[in-house]
Amino acid sequence: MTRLRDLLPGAALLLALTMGMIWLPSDTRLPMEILLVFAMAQAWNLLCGYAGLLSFGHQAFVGLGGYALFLTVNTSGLPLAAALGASVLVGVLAAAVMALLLRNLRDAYFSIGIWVLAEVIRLSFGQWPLVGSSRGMMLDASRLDLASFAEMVFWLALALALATQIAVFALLRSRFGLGLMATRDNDVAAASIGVDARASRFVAFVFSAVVCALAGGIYYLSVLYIDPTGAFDLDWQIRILFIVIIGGVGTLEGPILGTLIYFALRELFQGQGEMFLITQGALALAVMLIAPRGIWGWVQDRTGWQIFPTRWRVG
Amino acid sequence: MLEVAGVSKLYARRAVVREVSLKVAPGECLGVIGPNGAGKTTLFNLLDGTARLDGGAILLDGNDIGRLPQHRRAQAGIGRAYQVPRPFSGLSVHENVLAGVMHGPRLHGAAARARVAEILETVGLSDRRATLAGALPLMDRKRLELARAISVGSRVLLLDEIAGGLTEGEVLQLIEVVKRLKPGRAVLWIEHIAHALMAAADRLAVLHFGELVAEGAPEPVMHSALVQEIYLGIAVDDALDS
Repeated sequence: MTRLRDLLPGAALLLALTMGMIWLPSDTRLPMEILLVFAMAQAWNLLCGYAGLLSFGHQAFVGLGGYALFLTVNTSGLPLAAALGASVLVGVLAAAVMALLLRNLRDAYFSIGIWVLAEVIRLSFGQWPLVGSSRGMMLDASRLDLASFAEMVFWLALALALATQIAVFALLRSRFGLGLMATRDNDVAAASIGVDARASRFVAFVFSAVVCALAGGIYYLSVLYIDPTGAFDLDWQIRILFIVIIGGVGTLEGPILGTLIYFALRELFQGQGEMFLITQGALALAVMLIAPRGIWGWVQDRTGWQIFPTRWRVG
Repeated sequence: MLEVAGVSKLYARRAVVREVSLKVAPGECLGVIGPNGAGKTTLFNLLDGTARLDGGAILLDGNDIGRLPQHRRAQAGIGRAYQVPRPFSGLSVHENVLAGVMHGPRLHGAAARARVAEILETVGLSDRRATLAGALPLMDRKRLELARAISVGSRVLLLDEIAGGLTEGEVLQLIEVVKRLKPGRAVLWIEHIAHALMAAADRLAVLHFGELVAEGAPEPVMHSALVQEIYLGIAVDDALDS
């Protein structure tokens, strides 16, 4: 199924966006945030739009990834790469434990269950003296090269964003992706054709958790400070939700479009306080009413366009 | 060869399927009848692994598959068409069948596409292959249900009231499709539409309160006093006495 024609448009778009991120902004701070939030949104989109699991608790992975990195750097003296490895590991472990606890919850019960778990984790970190309880903790920056620090964090964010997009694209074009979409549409029927529905969903869940944990690690690395209220803030989840819903859930292009719209609005309404939130809410409502499958979903339904094609050819 | 050996299913200690034994050979169609609540669909759930066995064994060509999870039984050769069609609505007809072809026989690329084309030809959906499954009318959903059931390379085909909701003409078309699917497959067909079963089944099995109460050639079983009694609710002896 791999044809150059299928890969070229997506490759061109990613190249153009990457160039834009590198050359256009005057500093690396905003592009870094855009890239990280995009990676989270795309990973969450895999879970929601392709595995059919609506999570309201992915802020838990963002915070856990951040704390894993801080604890590793501050207590072990290991290099930064190992600290990012710790974010990945904690993401996998947390996802595995959550999957075990939530394994029999479906639909809205899963959504609420994972939200509750995320809140429990936030409150627990607020009570944990080793991480500074609710006051939070500073990153021990004594061994970091502060001259190239901002650059390095930007490149990490770019690598994560590109890797996430390419990985989700590759997953969805594989046998695994087809089984995952079958599971989303009807899990009993999927099992009846030999798809291990539980395993498919688990893989998608762990993948989304790891991407969010890495994004959290990189984000709080750039801030040098982490506290439970910020790191486990529901706002991370709301941002992801907004981006995926207005862009187009269950499309690979939607989260890209949604991320650009989100940050464009935020920059546009900078300094105008709550106007940004009001506009954001109004836009989300309008899109949900007019184009329930999001802006790109609306385009795709009418034109069949896919910049990242996941359809299987008939002939 | 499918051999069902004394399978049972209990709900709250009450047997809804009680020690049912059956044999169905490849190329043979066994019609399964019985009133609502007789345990027909539960029997299918035991066979395809959506419900757990509380007793007995299920042998497919001599191998006990009765403890395998649902997706492993599908890979072993159990295919199922549901009473209410369960298409993968967001996928095309082609992709619906491709998913089974890739997970069952594990075909890829051109071989997989050729197999899908062959299956769609058999059920009469070739001209719909690019359509989204969610947009299909009922009869085509039934065809897709059959296509998906055989897509895993099934050697056993479980058909659960697939003729329900169809017009008379459509029922006849469906019977033709089922007949095309019989060669090489052991077919079990639960159906309330009697003439459909009479047209396709080689034998009938009657379930009543979870027990297999009669089995044999379609005509004699359908007209037996026992079946008349179960369906019409009159005790034949009493009817003769009065």
